[in-house]
Amino acid sequence: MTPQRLIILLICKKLKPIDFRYLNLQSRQTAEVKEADLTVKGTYENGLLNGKADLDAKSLVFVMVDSTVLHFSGDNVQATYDGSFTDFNLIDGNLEADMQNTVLRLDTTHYLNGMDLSVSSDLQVDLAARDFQLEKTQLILDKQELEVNGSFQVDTTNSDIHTDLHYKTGDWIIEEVLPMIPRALIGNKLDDIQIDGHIALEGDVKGTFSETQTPKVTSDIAWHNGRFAMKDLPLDFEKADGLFDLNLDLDNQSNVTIRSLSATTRKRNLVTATGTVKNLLGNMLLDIFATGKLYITDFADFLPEDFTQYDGKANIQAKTQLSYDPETTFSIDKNIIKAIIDGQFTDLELLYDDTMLVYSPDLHVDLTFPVTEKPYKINEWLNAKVKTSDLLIRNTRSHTRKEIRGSTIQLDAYTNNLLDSTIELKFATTYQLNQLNIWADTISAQFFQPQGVLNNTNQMRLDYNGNDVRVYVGNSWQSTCSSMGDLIDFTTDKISLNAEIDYKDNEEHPLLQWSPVVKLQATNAKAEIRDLEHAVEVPTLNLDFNTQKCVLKKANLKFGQSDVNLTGTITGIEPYLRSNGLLKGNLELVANYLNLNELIAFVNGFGAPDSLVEQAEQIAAETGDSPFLVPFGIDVNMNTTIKKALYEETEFRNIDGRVYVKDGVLVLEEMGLTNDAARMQLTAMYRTPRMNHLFLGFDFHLLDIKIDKLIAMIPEVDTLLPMLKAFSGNAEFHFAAETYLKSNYDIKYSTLRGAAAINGHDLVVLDNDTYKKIAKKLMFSKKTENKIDSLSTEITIYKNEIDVYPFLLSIDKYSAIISGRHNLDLTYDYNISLVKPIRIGLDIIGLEDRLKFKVGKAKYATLFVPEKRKVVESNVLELKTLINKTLQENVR
Amino acid sequence: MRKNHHIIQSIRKNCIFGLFFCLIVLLMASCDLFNRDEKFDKTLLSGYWVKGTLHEFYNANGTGYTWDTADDVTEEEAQPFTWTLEKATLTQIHQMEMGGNVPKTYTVTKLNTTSLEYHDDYGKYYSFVKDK
Repeated sequence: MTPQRLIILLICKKLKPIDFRYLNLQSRQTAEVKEADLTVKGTYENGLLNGKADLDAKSLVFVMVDSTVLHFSGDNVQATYDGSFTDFNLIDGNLEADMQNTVLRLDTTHYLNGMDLSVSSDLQVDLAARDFQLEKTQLILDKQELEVNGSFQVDTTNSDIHTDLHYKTGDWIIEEVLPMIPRALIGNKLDDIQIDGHIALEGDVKGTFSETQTPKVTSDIAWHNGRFAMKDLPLDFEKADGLFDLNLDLDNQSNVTIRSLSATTRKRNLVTATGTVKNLLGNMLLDIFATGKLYITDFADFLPEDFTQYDGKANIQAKTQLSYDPETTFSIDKNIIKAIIDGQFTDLELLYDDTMLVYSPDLHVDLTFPVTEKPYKINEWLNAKVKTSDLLIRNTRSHTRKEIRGSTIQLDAYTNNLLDSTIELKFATTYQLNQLNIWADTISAQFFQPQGVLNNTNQMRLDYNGNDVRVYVGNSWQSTCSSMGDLIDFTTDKISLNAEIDYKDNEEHPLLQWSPVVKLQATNAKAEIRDLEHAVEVPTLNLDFNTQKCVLKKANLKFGQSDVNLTGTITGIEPYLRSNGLLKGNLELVANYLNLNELIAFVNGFGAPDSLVEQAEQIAAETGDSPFLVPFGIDVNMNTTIKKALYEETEFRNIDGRVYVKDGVLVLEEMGLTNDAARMQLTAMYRTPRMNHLFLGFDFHLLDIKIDKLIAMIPEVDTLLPMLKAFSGNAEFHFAAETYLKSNYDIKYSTLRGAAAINGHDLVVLDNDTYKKIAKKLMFSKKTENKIDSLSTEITIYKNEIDVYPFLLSIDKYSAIISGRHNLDLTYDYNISLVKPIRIGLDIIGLEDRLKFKVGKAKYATLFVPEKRKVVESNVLELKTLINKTLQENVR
Repeated sequence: MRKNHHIIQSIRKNCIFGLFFCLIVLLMASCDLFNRDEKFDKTLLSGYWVKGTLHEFYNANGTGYTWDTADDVTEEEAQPFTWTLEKATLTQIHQMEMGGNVPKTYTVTKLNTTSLEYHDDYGKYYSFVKDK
């Protein structure tokens, strides 16, 4: 009889607690049940054990010894098995089991360690093949539910465990579950991570579990109401809800796909994320799309310490690829592979260093890191595209208004590595604005549609193009209704500016601090300046400027009636700004029309020293006098070509010559002029050493002038040579004089010096009363023809004395030598020495309107007779020669 | 008779005119005869001279300058001249900054360590005292 044929009806009840021990040497398995209370009901037939067994045992131990040791044990075991057991090898049935202090250990690694375990499973086990098939298996480990279906098989040759399981958890509480995870699975990867909340997982465990292999675990994870914090991550996250796909492959690479994740950080800031995390347990590679609705005030620690006040909201969208290795310190420069960040800031307010306020109601920033296009060759590292409808930068500590405000701003900016403190910061940006307003103390400026490039690739460089610029100097900003500056109001249509700036902190003057190198082109510029009657218009301006020199390529200026074109070079700017040198200019001025009266008013007092300005103010207050002050601190040499010029009431034409202004001295040098009366050459000097001591000197040479026109043009000539009005015809007139003036331009007669020479040809003596009296006294014939071949005389002015040096006058058959003096009080002392046909003298003495004629000695009878000339007469001739010679030296 | 009377009248007129002419010539010659050509020591001219508000300064090297405080002019703002003194003739040549010279000739009538007096040909007299 063989056992297969034996049918045994088993009805065993209430066996007394006994110990069971099972030993299978072939499979090197042992099983031991202690103090078992076993109830078995079933049949046994031909090796098939079929029935139901209820087991209560104090403990259960199962050990399988192979290359590894599998240990499974539990206490207080309550188990019910309903099924079959074939040939003491095949188990097929339903197992319901509860045990406490459950231990599952592989070698020294615990996978379950002292937990309460509840198992419900439809299982099939081939003990010989060590093959386990699980269906409808539910495990409850310390209240954490887990459904497992599938199979695992322990390799009989090497004890490797081959798994093909599907699992699904209940709603786990992470902080309770994490301690259950075998450290062998995750090592210390989670040591720096704090995570909790509710989590549910469903997935598969497939693969071989051996000394060299671990099975792959996939899991769909649902996490809600969670919290997450990680070392080196400066933000903690709360109220987290997320859906993840986890692929845990300890032998290769573990990845996580974040299907959705939302959380709050710092209480009220909402962040979301989707993306992937590759190599989860190693050097992670993250590809994340994250959004954030953030309050700036909650992220103060991210801002430099210099920002002392901050407010606003940010709506951030970031697409980021980065690596992260918990073993190394996180670095933006090294860990971020690629980031595209789109930030929308509202009501952004930053206060820098308690001084500079930056405000924008809506600021849009697109950051790209790193950059692939490198248009400026500055090792471009970060690209920022900025848009805002309104940006305000204000100095909050200044007692006067200092702020910059731009509207509809677009920037496309690049920088080199911001985080590398060993290299100089480089940046470049294009900019485009609808309008830019700048206020600095009493200067305000408006720029319309400016656009261009600003960079510091080598030096700070600004390329600027704009449609309209308005600059006000004065207190316009205080006005609520008027934009007009009360000192200067400057506007322009189109403006193009290329500027390089090299900031030098050690300089005091702003121009030297910024050291600009500028190329400027402007059209239809206009400046209205207080105290100037007319605006200065600049239809065309083209200049290159740096602190060494300014090249005026073209400057068309219009002010009042004046219309001039300026070209040339201005140098010495830096010494001038340092107050240790003159501003030097070498200019060409071409004008169709120049109103000198307006020009004088325009440059009046420019750069005058404080002492002189104080004098001017004092004198103006006391007397109302306001004399012209020649500009100081400049040395400008100007070649002029002027078609028409107006000075006082006289209009001049075709003016050529040089004008230079040197530190308070104005010189007109060899100016050629033409008017209705004559061709002229004028050299003049005007300087203002002090307000009540103004120097005026001139050398005036008139060629071929009609005498009546000369007197009409320069009435002072009649004072110099009253008898001249008795002649008609053309003359050459050369007059040099100088004097100091009082602040009201009154002549200081004690300083008056002058010399004049008059040469006339083919003159006619006008038949007036004086001539008639002289002719009668000198017994001129009534038939005398009153024509004069020539007239040549020298005149000097000294204080109020006008001395007419002897000159020969020939009328018809008469020759006379005229000399004498008259004073500015119109008293006369003249002598007419008739030398042909007889010698007789006539003294003319007295006031102009009460002249006395007295026949007397011929004072200079032999003056023009060399062989009879007396010593005194020779001296007189020498002085005449001296006067003429020194006058002629001024003529070139 | 009548013709002779005319001849006599004509001779008489010529004689009177001749005598008158001779008288004038003698008078004119006498002027030169009495003309005193005084000579002054030019070294005495050096230094400051003042006439009311009018100041003149003569350097020994033939330069000098003048200013008048009545016109709010200081010594530093004085205007230059060169001078010569030949016998009694003092010639000042005032130099203009603009170029050009203004000569003035005076006849010195007194020059000592304390006084300087001169006049021009038009009867303008100047009397200075030495300003130490």
